[in-house]
Amino acid sequence: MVDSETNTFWSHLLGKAMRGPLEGQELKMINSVVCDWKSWKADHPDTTVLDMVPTIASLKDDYYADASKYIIGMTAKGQSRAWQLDHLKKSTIINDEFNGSVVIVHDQNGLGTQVFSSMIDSKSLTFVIKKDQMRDLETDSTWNMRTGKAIDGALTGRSLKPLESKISLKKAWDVFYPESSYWFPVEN
Amino acid sequence: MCTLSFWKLLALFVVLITGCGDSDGVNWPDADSLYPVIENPITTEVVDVSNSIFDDELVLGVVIDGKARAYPINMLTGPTREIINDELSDVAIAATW
Repeated sequence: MVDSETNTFWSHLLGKAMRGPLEGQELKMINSVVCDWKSWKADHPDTTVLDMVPTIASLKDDYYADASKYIIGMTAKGQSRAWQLDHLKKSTIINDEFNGSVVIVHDQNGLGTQVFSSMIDSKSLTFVIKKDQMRDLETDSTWNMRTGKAIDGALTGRSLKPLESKISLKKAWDVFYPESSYWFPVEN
Repeated sequence: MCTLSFWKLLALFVVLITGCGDSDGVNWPDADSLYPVIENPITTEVVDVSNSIFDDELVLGVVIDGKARAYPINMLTGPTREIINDELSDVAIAATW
């Protein structure tokens, strides 16, 4: 990735200038999600959408079928952590600690995988899947796992803060973030 | 002819060798030979793409200041398309795949 103003070379995954006049500078990452079109337009009916001729037609909801190849990762304060998609496919929700309490969710239907802060009003919530829905143990509110918004229960209308994260091939993540820690399920 | 071809091949080989790698060992491409910039792309509403984007297609979605935009990944694949320079809610963004 090169910017045409200065010809500086940038790393896609790091968002960092690797060589050229802007070397060392970093782009601000904006939170995004990869999910299927059906889920996205259901959550955001007023969305606009890029309108270009497709280059391929194969990237569909089976893209992450081999989930062990992919991770969702985030960085904070010089550290990085990753959660494997195959673990998320098994558990759907992972409650974890990384620069604070976080919850990682994987929508089995729409494929949206995201990291949210678990904190509401300075209190940490613990999330579970109950009757195919995302609930918190503290208030039993129901949450939309793609938008992070409470849709039923005491916290209706409240939103979890989405945290900047990125889906990546695990092998690429390991090259660019060799010191990254990983979440692993507790062995029973 | 054979001699000429040999020297041409040798020259090509030398160019390839000297063109590979740099003092830092990284294969940096020539900035002048890169693909055309994509900026200010055309975007549209959900109703306009009901026949061209299918429900099971993957999209990269972003929300800024309440405005949502989706980038179908089938439009972002391939070296000429991997970076879309765009603007949403007056924020300059680059959607990359």
